[in-house]
Amino acid sequence: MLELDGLTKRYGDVVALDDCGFSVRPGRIVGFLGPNGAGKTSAMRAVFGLLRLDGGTVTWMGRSVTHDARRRFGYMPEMRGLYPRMPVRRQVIYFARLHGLDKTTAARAADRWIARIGLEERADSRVDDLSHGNQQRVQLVTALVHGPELLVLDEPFSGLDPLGVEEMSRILQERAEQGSAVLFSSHQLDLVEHLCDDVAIINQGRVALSGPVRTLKDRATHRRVEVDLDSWTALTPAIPGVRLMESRGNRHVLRVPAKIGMDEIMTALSDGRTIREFSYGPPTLSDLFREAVAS
Amino acid sequence: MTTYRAIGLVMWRELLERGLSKSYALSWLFLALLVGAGVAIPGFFGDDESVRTYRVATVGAASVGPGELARSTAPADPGSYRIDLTASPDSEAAGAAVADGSVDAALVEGDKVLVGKDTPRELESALRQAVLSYQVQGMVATGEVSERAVAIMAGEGVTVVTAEPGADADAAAEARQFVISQVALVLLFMAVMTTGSWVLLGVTEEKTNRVSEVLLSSLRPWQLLAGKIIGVGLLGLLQFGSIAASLIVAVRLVLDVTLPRWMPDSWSSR
Repeated sequence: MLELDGLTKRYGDVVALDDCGFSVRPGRIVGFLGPNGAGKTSAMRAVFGLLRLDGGTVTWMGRSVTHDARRRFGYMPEMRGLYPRMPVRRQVIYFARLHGLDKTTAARAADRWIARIGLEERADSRVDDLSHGNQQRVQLVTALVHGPELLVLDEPFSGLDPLGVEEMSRILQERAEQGSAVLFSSHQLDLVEHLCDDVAIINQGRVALSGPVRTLKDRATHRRVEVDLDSWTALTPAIPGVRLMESRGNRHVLRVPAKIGMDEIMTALSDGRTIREFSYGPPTLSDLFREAVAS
Repeated sequence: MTTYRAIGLVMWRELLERGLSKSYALSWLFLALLVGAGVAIPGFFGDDESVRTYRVATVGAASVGPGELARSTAPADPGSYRIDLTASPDSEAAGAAVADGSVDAALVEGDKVLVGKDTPRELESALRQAVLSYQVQGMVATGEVSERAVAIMAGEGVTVVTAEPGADADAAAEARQFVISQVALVLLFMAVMTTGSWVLLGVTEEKTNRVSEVLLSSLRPWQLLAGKIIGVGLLGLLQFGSIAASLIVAVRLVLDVTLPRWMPDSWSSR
């Protein structure tokens, strides 16, 4: 298990990490969320010793992360981290060998992964001749080719088309099923909600919320109600604690305290109006994120 | 993975990627051109076979003999000088001609050498020697001095042996050696500077495009740097070594130059 505990890092007056801590267990996918500049990249770089911390520890399986341990990790930085003029296949083999694979195994693994992302035809092309999306795929492959125990990906989905996102999601799920711990950052909250077992939401260098997605949603102090009415009159004064989140025509999203049951809110809404559509459930990850960051 | 293997992988990548790059080929071409120029330019300098001509005025019949002796004994080799004689009516006219530079020197009445401030030292010396020799020849003819004494005076009594092989190399060959050594120095300087800048550029490039982040997640910084320096250093050695070898071959085949003593004799062109 990867554990980040009490990570602290300052750049002058700017606090990048402020007692930041969370964990990633093998076989789980953890979504690392936060607004821009919240400290996601700093925390990820700290895992690989790329950041000199002012305080805190990073451990893997209960021990400090050593260089040998890092060789069994896979890392995909936010910005492209590839040699632009080096051919795809040679590049993937190179990174595989740096992670300890012998020449034959590295070549075999490179061919398998390049075929997996559909770039066999471009295996001998230079990386800078590929499209942005394909470069992103190659970057992912360099992080995966040696079968890492821990996969840390900084914004892996940015710039990918929907098919690319789907393929990459499948690959991450497979890695997790094979026992790898997967940590990735993203601003695509719907995707994170769909893909991740756990999330850690960081704000101003500090983890504001973390845990299994399901548990966080269930434990939320409010529920999300979406309703389509034939007409709308002010509802919130009628039921204390209910807040209108958004409105589009006759469709409305309400934030309702969890103690107010579905029947109660439905009754209140149907008073003098016809309900055409109604849903009542836990908040979405977007809702949790907004609340965590706002608090 | 061992440290050696990590360094070896980085080194091998540098050798392969940089060695096959256009910039490496172009720098090789540039150095080859520089060597070509280094071989050709001394050739141009060394091929200066012009002979300087000194004009010497003679005053009186007594000056004709020493003048002819000086003219006939002038070396007239490539790069040396010869002497042209012209008769002058009197010593005033000869002095005026020397002063205005229309002649380089004058012989007056067989025993006086007139020189100006621009008269070359070698001409003055040659005329002085000619006057003395002519006088001695006259004394030999009249029996005042034996021929043996004259021969001894002329230097037959002593043998001078050069202790330093090659020290008798002529001035042109020395000039060529100097230019070639300067070219070799420039090559060495360029090799050091070029390979140093390759390492610097490589590190900057990796830092800029964030490859270093991925590399340093599996390598220690010193392993990355060591692999890079060894790889680039080998490429530099290969380039410089091949250029130096071609320089030696070119010097041997094209130029008449004595190579340094630490090189095998068979490498030298003479």
